[in-house]
Amino acid sequence: MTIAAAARAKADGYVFIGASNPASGPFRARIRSRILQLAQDGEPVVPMAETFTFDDAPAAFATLTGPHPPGKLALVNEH
Amino acid sequence: MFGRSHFTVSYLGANVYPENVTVGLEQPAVSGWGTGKFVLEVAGDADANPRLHVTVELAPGERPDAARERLLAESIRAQLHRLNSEFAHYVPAASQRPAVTLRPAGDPGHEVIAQVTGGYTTAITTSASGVFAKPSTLTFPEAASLLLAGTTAADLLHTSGAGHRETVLLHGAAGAVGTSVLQQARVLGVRVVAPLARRTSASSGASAGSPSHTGLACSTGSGPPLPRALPPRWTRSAATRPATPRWPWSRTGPGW
Repeated sequence: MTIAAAARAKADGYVFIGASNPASGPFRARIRSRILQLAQDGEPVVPMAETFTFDDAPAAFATLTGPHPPGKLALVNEH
Repeated sequence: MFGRSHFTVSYLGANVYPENVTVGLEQPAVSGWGTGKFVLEVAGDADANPRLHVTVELAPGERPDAARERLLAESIRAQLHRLNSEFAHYVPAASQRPAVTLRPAGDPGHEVIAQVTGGYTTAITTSASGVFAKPSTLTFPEAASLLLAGTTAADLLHTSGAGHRETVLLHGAAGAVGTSVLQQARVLGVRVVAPLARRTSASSGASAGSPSHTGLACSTGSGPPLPRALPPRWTRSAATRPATPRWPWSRTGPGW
């Protein structure tokens, strides 16, 4: 199964997972509080690649178009 | 409803518009103390009669004070009476003056996390059912990044049906979703084999976020072969997990 290659999944007959799937939306809504509880307990660590101010948002989008960054990019009000 | 202008409150047969309350807050005699943010609501008083309540945020450094609350209440009443004929005609004079509560800047103020559409904004209205307390363990950038990747990862594990001590093969483990899959799999006691390209394995989110899983990472192509047996540390980690997973999706997984 895949979360990235929807067309390939359809062509080759395997499962594509996306938030718009009928079963995915309700499941994801349900699981949010569990994930947040795990985060409060310190289990999921969120790898951050880089933060950008709003003024630097174009640089953030430029980074997104490059090689897959090793973590999340975030726009912040201040550093 | 802080700062929002398109909600009305029904009070004794009249619609009360936040815009009119704003005019009351902006009068020169009272406008210096506040930030312009307020909550407008109707609540019962001690005798269960409806009473219009306005909670107003003070500017930083300003302190709540009964005299200021009275001045603001009168300013708001005067503007509601002047600008809203429903209010002037239907609401009895004795009930026209709102109860005003002043709050210090940022009080109560809660750090929250929500998945929204249109998040590039300073203010947003969204369904309360989708708003959660921000885990205190996370910074704001981390919290903002948690739920999309986290729920996608949960969805993948859920759909895979993988159960305790079963093994999944995960491509793209170094990304945000992949890293979250590794972390959630550890909680569930699901083993993960994750081929990583050599260039990502050194600095990947997988290694940064989940050190006990890096023993499973190997490069594709010219790299070393996939491990035949799971490393001892991983096996121990999985074995210490409860035999019955506590996750809500456990009902759908085979063997759970």
